[in-house]
Amino acid sequence: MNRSARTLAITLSAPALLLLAACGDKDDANNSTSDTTTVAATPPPAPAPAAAPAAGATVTDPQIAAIVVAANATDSASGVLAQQKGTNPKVKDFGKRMETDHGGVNKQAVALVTKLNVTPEENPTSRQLTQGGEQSRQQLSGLSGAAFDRGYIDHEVEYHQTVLQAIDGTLIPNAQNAELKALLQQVRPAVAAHLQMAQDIQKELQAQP
Amino acid sequence: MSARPAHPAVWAALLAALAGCAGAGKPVRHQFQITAFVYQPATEPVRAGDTLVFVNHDAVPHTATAAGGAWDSGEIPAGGTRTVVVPANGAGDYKCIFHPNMHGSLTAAK
Repeated sequence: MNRSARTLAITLSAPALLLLAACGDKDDANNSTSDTTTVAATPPPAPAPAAAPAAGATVTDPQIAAIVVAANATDSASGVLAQQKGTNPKVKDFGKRMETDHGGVNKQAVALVTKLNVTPEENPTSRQLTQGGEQSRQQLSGLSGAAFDRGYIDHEVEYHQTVLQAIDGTLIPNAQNAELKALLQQVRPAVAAHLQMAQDIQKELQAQP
Repeated sequence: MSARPAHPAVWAALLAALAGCAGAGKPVRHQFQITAFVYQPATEPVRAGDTLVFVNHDAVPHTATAAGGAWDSGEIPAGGTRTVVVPANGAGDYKCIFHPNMHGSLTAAK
């Protein structure tokens, strides 16, 4: 990825992703924060990473529930935007898949927390996911054509990488309820599959002139 | 000359052989579980005319689609089931067209 594309990807993804990564690994979060500050020539009003849970902090089941819902809702909404603004058919199809899959996972998550009588508890990570997602979509909305396609897919690659890292490093290890933990374990392959799909499209887009 | 009746053991053997022949041609139902983006079993021996039953336990829709296009389950909704009859050229790899990293394989049963 050239520097300008990389800059775009980091700028777009940072608002929604940094805090989720921050849950699991302090060093990574600090590095990402540094990247964002450095490369954002026209900086978006990025949410303050300092609001993230401290590294190694435990998150409760109600907080995990809120994070799962926010993460899925955010990427589903980005998928809707990709269907509207994408030009490459694979990008549009991927957007539709994100809307469908993340919507489906959220239905399952909401059904589970309802059954468990767990009320999702908003927390800095879930709030930042929602706000960061809105900011990312706002920035993507200003792009068109191939620039949108690349910006969206770069964002999706980083988003799914970070979510995967958070699932492995923070959410699954901290989940106390067995059914919630099982849900996270079921969701993981979906996130991994989405990451692979996004990376494949990213390669194709990068190979285009 | 009068014909001598066959020994009961001979009749039993003949009947068993006939039953075996009939069983070889009878279509079989093969059930596949889709869980966590994996087809189970991943590889299954089948014959033309057999029925494939795909049960999707995931929260997202999938398909089971032959790589060469010989057969296609269509969309298998979350929590849903779809059946497909194996065509003459049905053996080979298949995948989910929604999630292309999901793979399975049908082999020709002997």
